[in-house]
Amino acid sequence: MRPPIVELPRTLMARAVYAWILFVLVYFFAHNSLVHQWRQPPLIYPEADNTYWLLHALYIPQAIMRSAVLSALFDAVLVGSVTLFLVFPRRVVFCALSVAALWLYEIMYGSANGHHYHHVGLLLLPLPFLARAPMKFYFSWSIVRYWVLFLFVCSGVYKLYYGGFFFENNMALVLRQHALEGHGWQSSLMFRLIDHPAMAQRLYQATTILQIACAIGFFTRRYDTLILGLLLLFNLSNIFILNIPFWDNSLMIAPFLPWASIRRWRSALDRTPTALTKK
Amino acid sequence: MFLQQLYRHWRKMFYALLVMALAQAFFMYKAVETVPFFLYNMYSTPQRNGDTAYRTAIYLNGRPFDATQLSGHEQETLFGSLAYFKKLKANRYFATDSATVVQRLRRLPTGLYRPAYKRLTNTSVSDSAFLEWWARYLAQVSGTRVDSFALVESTVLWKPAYRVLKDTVSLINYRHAPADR
Repeated sequence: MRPPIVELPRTLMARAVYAWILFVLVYFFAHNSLVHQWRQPPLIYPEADNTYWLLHALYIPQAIMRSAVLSALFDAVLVGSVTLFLVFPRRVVFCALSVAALWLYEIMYGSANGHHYHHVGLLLLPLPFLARAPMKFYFSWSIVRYWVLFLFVCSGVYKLYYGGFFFENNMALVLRQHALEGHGWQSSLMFRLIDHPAMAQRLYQATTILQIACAIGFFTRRYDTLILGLLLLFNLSNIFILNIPFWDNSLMIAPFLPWASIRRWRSALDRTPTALTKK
Repeated sequence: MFLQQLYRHWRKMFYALLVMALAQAFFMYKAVETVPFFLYNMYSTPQRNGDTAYRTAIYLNGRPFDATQLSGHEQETLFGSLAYFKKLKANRYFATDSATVVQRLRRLPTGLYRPAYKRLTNTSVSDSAFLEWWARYLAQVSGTRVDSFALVESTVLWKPAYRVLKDTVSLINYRHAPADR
């Protein structure tokens, strides 16, 4: 049986996702991570990425990052377009502007920090809102859902393919790179795992299985709540064990939220007063 | 099936998706990440770091500065850029090795090749340009005026037990030069 095309509550979703993005940007601002707060970094890091090469060859990231005025202007456009789309979710032009700004921000972030980060949730989730028609929005949202699943499954498969899964001390050695000195519980947990490499490696292997298990989402949406739980667990483990910030990637869980059910609940709520009035 | 539905209802997107999938497969085969074709392979290879590591301590205006109080983002920017700076310095400030630039862009006409080459490398960056920026960002995240800072790299031993040695593997000293009046 073919799965039905579900009408999703686009406006509600646009507001929820963009409020979330705005929150992440405020979080970035609080941690001195918006472009103007970098104070004009001189180095660039295009590495071998062709998209980075193209933009750097056109001198776009350098021109923005190395100018106090342009970087402030860029941040204003970034935050402004996100805010405007949050307020006017039918105006696709604001969404397009925010998508361009978010992708450019990501490239500048990777270039200025000397490492290409993957703030995938922030990059992929706004894309479906470029579509306004319900059918196109449904398909775009589904594609982003599959994209997130694909990335997680790939991450698990890579761990098998490159051999990290089978290398007994792998996780303990990864943890050494992130070890936090101090007396907090997080530091104790990290050092405990480093001292018990077998236990650390079991966690790594469990994560690999968890990531590969996300493949079930390619065949059915029935387990989306489970996948949501697995992704949350994965991201929370990243904070507690590897000290990797959560909010940057938190949006990845959004495609697995029960949006269609939320729409049904809202419709039911909307109908109730009408029925009462008629009586 | 989803793809059948997509083909029936939105054919242009179906073909776009097909092209994207092929491009993703190509970049995975080449093992070259090209945004938006992400390669999610972090920590998938066996780690080869030994029992010796290095740690950088910051001395801000002559006093030790606790970098662990900074957020993950701030640490990423400070220490990520510093590690990259050290690597670049050892490679004469080329962002990507010159052979790759030559190989990829060799078909460009000279008029386009030269500016592209210049823009893809860090040849115009010097020690002082980087350190002055580092001081600016350190001032931003610490909320303190930075007159000087020192970066002392020390050895960390993991075996037989975790221990930070009081040695100096490398030292970077920076002192703010006051502007001429």
